[in-house]
Amino acid sequence: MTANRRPQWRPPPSLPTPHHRSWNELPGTLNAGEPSPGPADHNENGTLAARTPDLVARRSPTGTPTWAPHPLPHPSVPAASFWSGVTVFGADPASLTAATTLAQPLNPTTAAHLTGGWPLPGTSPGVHNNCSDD
Amino acid sequence: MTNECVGAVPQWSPGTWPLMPWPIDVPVRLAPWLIPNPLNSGLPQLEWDASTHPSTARRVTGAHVNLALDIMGAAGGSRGRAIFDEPATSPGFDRILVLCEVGLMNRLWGPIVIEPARGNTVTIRDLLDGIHTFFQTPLTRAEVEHISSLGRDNYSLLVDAYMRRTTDPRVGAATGLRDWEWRQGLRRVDCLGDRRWWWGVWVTYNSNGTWQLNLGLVNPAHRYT
Repeated sequence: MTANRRPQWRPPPSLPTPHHRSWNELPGTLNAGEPSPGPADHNENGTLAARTPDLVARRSPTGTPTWAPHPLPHPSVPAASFWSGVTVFGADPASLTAATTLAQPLNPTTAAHLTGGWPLPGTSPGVHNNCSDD
Repeated sequence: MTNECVGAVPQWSPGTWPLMPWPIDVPVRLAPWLIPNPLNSGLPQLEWDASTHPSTARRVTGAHVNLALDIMGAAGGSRGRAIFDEPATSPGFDRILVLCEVGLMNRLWGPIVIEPARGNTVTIRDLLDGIHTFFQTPLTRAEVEHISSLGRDNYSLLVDAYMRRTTDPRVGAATGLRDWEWRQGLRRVDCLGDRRWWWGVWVTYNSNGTWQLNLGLVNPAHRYT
């Protein structure tokens, strides 16, 4: 008779998979409309190299910045309708003007800057259904 | 490893044919959990009432499962980190200004200044904590009088929001803090009315070469689907 021997538990190995990386260390894609910056911008493992922050990005607004409504908050609902609502003091006139005048198509670069590099709200076709493990 | 399937962080395409990779090489990239839902604008990725503590925030996954943001791994964090501890932006910043729609009071209150509690990079926890702290600030008598002078119904709207907030089961009877919260009086969050729920943040660049985060809050009862 041999004693039942359970396999010993071992801690999971530390693998360099996407699941073990922070979101900002994942492989990225570049704007197809822009020239590739070349291999110097990529690490050996294919991830984007840490971007040197632009001076623009390092600076914060001075004075009294105002809230800028999302110009395309919904694929079919205009921004003015989406952002209209009851607030105690009423909206800032500047915000209302922006909400009603910016509801126009954005070029891909402007849209990517607005969204932080992701698709606009409600515009993704659901590619993640085939990829996400949620 | 290709760019197509990268675990919990999908790479989207903008719905064109042939499929084009979406540009993400932008000056300020946002954590994917913070943006308005790219699949359904009416279903925010974070379920969070800004009047409640950020620990009550939940992430709505693609399978419509609500997960706390401090769960490591399963909720989408990496390297054993929870989403809460992920950087809010890439590159990371030690100071972020967040603007939200508070109407004319923006001139009195100014923007929400987010700074890291630890380290030198603002995390998602820092962002939500900063927003929560900003809106938990009690209103002064002068502010209440100013708000009341801006519209005939303003004061009653403020009080109505305050009463609904303080009798909310999540901060009221269920937590035993109802009386305490009631005695604290009006807070900035009462100025939001019913529009207190997280929708997402987005970036705008100003003409003077600066940038800011804009916070969208919505009333889930008036959801567009």
